[in-house]
Amino acid sequence: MWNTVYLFIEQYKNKRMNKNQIKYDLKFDVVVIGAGHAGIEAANMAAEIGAKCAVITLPGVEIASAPCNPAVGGVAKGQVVREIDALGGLMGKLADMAGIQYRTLNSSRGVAVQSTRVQIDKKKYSENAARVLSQKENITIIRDNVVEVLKLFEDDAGFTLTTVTGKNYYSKRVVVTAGTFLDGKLHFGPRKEVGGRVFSPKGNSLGEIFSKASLKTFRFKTGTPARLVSSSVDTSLMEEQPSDSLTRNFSSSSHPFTRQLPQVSCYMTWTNSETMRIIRENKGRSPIFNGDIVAIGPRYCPSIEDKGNRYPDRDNHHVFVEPEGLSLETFYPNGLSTSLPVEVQEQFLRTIKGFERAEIAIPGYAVEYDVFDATRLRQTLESKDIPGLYFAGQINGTSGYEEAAGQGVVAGANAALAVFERAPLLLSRFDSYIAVMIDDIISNHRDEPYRLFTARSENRLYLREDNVVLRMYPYRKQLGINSFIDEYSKRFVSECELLAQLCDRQVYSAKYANERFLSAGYGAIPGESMRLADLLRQSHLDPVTTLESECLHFGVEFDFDILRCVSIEKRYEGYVAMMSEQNRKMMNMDNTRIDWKLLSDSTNVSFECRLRIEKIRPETFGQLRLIEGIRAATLAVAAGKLY
Amino acid sequence: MALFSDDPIIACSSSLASSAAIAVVRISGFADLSELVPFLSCPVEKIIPRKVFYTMIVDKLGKYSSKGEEVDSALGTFFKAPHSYNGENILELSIHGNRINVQRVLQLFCSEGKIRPAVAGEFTYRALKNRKLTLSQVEGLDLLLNATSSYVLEQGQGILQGEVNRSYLELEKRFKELRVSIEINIDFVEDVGEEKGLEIFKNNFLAFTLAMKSLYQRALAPINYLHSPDVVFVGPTNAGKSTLFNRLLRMNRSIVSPVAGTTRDYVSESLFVEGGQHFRLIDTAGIRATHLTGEIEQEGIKRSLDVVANAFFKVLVLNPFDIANGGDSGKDFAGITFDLLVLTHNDKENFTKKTSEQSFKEYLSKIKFHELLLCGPIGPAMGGTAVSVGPIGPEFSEEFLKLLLAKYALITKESPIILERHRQLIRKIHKHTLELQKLCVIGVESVDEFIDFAVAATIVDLIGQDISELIGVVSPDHVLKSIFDNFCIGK
Repeated sequence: MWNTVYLFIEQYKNKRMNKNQIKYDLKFDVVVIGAGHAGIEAANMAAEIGAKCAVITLPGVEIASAPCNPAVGGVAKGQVVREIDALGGLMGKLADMAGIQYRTLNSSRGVAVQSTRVQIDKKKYSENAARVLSQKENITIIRDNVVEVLKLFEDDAGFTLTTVTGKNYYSKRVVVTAGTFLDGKLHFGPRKEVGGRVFSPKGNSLGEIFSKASLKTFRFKTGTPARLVSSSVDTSLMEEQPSDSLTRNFSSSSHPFTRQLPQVSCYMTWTNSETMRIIRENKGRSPIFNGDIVAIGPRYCPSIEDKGNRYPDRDNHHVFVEPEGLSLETFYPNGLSTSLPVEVQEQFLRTIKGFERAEIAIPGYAVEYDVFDATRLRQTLESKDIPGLYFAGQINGTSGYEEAAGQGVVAGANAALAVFERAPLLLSRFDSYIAVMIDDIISNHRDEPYRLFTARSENRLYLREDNVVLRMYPYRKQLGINSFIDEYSKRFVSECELLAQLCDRQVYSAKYANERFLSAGYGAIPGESMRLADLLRQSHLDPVTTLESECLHFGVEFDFDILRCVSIEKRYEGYVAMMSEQNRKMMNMDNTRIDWKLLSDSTNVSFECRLRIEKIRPETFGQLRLIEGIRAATLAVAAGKLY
Repeated sequence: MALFSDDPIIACSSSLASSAAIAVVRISGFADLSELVPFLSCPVEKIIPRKVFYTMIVDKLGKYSSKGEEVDSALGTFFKAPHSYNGENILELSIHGNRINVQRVLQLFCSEGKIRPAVAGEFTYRALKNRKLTLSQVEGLDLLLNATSSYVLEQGQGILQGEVNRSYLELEKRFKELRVSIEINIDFVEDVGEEKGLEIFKNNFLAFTLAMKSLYQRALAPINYLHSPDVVFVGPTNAGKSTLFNRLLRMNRSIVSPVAGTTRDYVSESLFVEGGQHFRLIDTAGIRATHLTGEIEQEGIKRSLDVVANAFFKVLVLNPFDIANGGDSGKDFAGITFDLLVLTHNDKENFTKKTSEQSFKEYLSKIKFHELLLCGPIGPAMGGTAVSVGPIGPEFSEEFLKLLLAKYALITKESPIILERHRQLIRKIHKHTLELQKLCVIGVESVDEFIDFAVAATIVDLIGQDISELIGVVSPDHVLKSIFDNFCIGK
């Protein structure tokens, strides 16, 4: 995103300067550095709230590009995309505009844990993002290279940004979304290149950049597979996965099922003993194993040489063959991430069914990059050390476009809210996956890139895709904006309430129930009279189709989205209530504010805990609880305010 | 709040109740051995962890005594943090066990003001804090140290590091696998495959229910009497209670230790039986006192009757001839079922009058008992299958113990879990397990086997909360780590 960045944060305490001595080219409320998935969401939210906003991004670098897999969504991630959409973000709309294959994941695992994933046309996704951003009021896109960020005046919270072309910008708040570019290093077997991704420049190390503010950094690693020339791949030999026409589009503003682009298929193939033999024989040539790469990679996304090494008895690993776009002539072979030398990549790829004549368009590689210690951030993603500076996205040690975008929404909204001295937007982990992620990354130092899983939430029966509008509406309302999503959400919530009342009030008498249930094909359901809500709870019935047919029967009409949300809500009502009771107790406690300073000075707290508390500086009991290694006794001290 | 301060602490870890040859003094929580230089003649740099060393305990600074003299000699062992009982630096000193000597040594170490006397239980508290012990283990330790019965002692050891702890750890392990299989079926279906995921879940759930089954039985089994299996003797004065009592205590294979009676209403003695079981023998001397009046006496009798009613093994001792001669009405024991009735006074003549025999039989028919032991030649007159053991001698004791141990074996057969907190948690886990079972059997929606994993996950989360209370915390990070370690994840 920038070539050489010197983001010096200095307090200039002894240097008295007159503000009027500096001539600013432009002044902004919020400047976002970087225009990836986090950057565009941050700028969009800040602008929606009314902040005068700039996005500074490198000339010639695509906006919101997807340098790894060509897909948006997934288990837990699909929920995040819908949360972003319901909060007024861009990702859902952009994914729908560029969606070329839709899929509902976990369709066989129960309605509450189903998630949407969309294969996107990468090129269209970027083009649309650039267009949407440039058409947005309040946003200026600056194609330039930030070399310096200074906090010049003690009595002013604002920053001075200087670019390589000599421009000076002033901004009240700055959001840093630098992605993988800081001191990036690419590995293609023994060949090394500098840069944040292939064909792109690198940024300086976070260590250098933040040295004056002594901000701590870590080194992470990630990887990507080779891209294959589409025409060289024989998909007729593979298992086809067509687009699912019954998967709902991401955005509330999109028509539920109408696709904006022609749909294509993905394909599935497998590695075999020959593939794995070649990979294992060349193990020593992989920088992961020969010591060239020391940074930590994600365990949930191992390279193929990792899989070969860790599972010596297994040779058949899935390969998902995903088109990168309608016009882009490449396939993304998901599951074959590698940093082996290019000639080995070609050799093992060609042993795979359908890849016999495959040609590599871009070889796979591993990338090492700097990440910022996210435990130094508040829940608003503002730095605890430098007020006014926000961090969002992969720079915080997360992985995934959706995770980055979710943070962008929170950082951008809060930067703008702070400009207008309004109350911050604080999502709760009990009703949002974005909050689960932020809570997790700011509470504990992570030893690998952080990815969302549903397992990370205590409340996943409630954190569903179907009820995302209900969950996000209170937050969106807090922003006080009146646009399409606000109108939509308001109507959605009130119709849900209406239908929920109907479910609770409609009672089938014993005699009538028998007749109706048999004629509707529900089978005999024993019992006296029954409410419609109870009917939806019957485990042998699909709640959505049951409510749909009952509404039809009674002659009332509701949108499919409303029917789905309410029927699933009713199905799980008992369990959700049980869990929220547990969570409520925890949340009441968790939201209690604590004084970390007093706690870290307390003689009643062990030395080790004091060190941890000083490092993380928890603001609530919940954050304290999430810190790894905090002892029960310390929690007792905090809970009883014995400090 | 002393419990929350991390100062170095010291205490005598062996008994201070009476002087013994050796006493063990423990110092815990000092940052470095150098802090103890003022008290030890042995150069601290020569001390090797876990190797015994000899040292004089000295008062180098003369803060405690004006002369700075040698206080005692000791054998010391240093346990370096975190490889110690409670995870802190610990120095254990075996010193001479005289109580005055021990007090002097403790005072010396505290004289500089850096080390303070430990609060009761503080060493263990720190072990809990430092995660050297789980809460359950601390409870086990408490049982172990304060047990009043052999069963509780054994269970204390079992929870601390033995069989009970192993079953808990087994349950935790199975639970973790269960959670892993749930997460695989929600977060990683694409990686692992639908069928494979279902198979993993089924196997892991089965393993969990198996681990749960025996624990549940043990949490259901009654635990009355296990804390203190009392053997109580009642009967009229001169019926032979004391003779029986003393006979049992004089057995070659039992050791007697005198324990003062806790109330004035009865005396009790400890009976240790070969094989490790321990019983409390209680002689309710004052219970046959219908002629006693006054509130205090009445209160005493009531208390004695409570002791009888709650006893594990109730023995009624009767002299048939006293009864036959109208000596005792036995009305105090109405409603009590005795485990054993002993008829004594075999040295007396047979019943001489038919009427006496009649009235005794009538009397006996009103008394409820399970077993009968006859001590004397009156057996045939009583009829039935009762064992006659002759005079109150070794044979009587053998027979008595056989009956006592048989009943004890019955109540310990299921190895009941003693701690109520654990029993409740296990029962709660069992309840949720049944719910999960129901979900998996009934939730058939289509031809394919269908399990609503969202609901299953919720129930498993509830189980998880109980398990974490039982043994420790299973966090999402632990579960994810286990998945990444054992399954090939990553498209």
